[in-house]
Amino acid sequence: MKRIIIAITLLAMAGFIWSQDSKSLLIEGSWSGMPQYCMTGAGYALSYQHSLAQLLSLEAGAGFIVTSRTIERDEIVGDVRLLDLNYHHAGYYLYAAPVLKIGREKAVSVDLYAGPVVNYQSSVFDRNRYEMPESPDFIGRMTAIVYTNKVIEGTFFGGIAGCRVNIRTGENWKVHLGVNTMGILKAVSSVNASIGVQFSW
Amino acid sequence: MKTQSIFALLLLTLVGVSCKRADLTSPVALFDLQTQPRYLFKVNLDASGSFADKDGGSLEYRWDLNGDHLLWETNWLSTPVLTVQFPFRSNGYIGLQVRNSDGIITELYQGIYTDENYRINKAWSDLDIDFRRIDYSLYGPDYHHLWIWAYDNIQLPDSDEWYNFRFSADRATYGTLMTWDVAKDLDSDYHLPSRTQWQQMIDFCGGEALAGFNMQVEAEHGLQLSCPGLVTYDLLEESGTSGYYWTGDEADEDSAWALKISATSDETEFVILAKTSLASVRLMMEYYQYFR
Repeated sequence: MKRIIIAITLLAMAGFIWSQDSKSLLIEGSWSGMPQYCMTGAGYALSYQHSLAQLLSLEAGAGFIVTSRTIERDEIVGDVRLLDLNYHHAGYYLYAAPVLKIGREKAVSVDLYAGPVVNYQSSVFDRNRYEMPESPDFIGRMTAIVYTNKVIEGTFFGGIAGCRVNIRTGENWKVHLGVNTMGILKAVSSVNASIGVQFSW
Repeated sequence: MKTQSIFALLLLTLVGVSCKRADLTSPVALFDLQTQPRYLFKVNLDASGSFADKDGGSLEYRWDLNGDHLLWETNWLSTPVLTVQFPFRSNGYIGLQVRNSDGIITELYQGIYTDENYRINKAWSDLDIDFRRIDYSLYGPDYHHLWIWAYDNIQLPDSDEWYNFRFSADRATYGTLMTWDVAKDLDSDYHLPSRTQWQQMIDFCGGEALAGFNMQVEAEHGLQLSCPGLVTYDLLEESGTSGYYWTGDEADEDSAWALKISATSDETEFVILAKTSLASVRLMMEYYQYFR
């Protein structure tokens, strides 16, 4: 349900902005790191920029990030052999930010942006593997190794700040390299490095 | 402006990367049953083997008792042992979630199997009023144990020597209350269970703490003991609330051991009664066949 609400909100915002002039559409893929839990992964984002002035645009976008990390444990506690922990994270995010445009008309330009983020994400941890002690005959286990952990989901708020270096490759096209950080309150923050293209008209 | 901003952003990134790493630990969920589960018998689900992490820590527990993966039949509990009536006629899954103080949850589902191997037959005995018997087939590593118990409380024809309930329905439920001397010589094949044999039945039914319930519960594979009460000094007492079943063991010349169950307790106990007291009777016999 929350995903649907976010999608509808995104579409409404996109529709509103689409009706304005001086537009750019950006699509990018990213490498993502979540330093707090040492998770790494990938993501993608789609965003729209609307020019308000020579140095200022307004940007709204949405993206998806998935990251993971496996910690080998191989230790015995009591009768239990702890095998590994799998951290996993998946999150959708929606953001809006003013963009400071530096060198807009030049072959190489820079965008700086910062703004609020709404993030719908699962928390870390989705599997904990361990070997249990021998069970009596009347307890059946499909495997001696146990898979566990309920993923905790939620909608969280935070902020995003980042920059892009844009390289003009055609009259309407640019390629960009970017880096941004997303700080999510009470959830998982990330650092992202991205590469993408943008189309302006 | 441009360079300063980029450096500021990179600095922010480095701060983010270098922040203290949070290596979360996840609790370990384990649960066991202390006795062989049987349909409708009470069992203790014991999750005390679970732990929050290797350094300890508190846990909370909740259970999916019907294994439907939909609803949790209990709230979060602070105690790891839960007594429930086993809900499956044959096999089923029971789920456990444990939650540590950080709110991290580990979930474990285990398949639980029952192994009912019994037959209910008419018992051919020397008694005037027939009773049914239940034959349990139990297998050990090198033997087959045929364990035969009366499935009804023994009934005798009316006599001044013992006590019969006035109504036939009560007689069918409660049987006849009789002295130990009458009970011990009722039949040439079936005999009063000794304390040891009753104890085996108690263990079969979940141990002292639960056997009182499990020996009364209306499950076909159980003894379904009733609570007729006890007659002492020609006075019927505790009818409907307690049952006293003779064992074959004397305590001394004038008294003998009896098993006591109560309608309001899951527990059983052995008590000493005067042999002249009138109590209930279940008979039994058993055979062992060893494999060579």
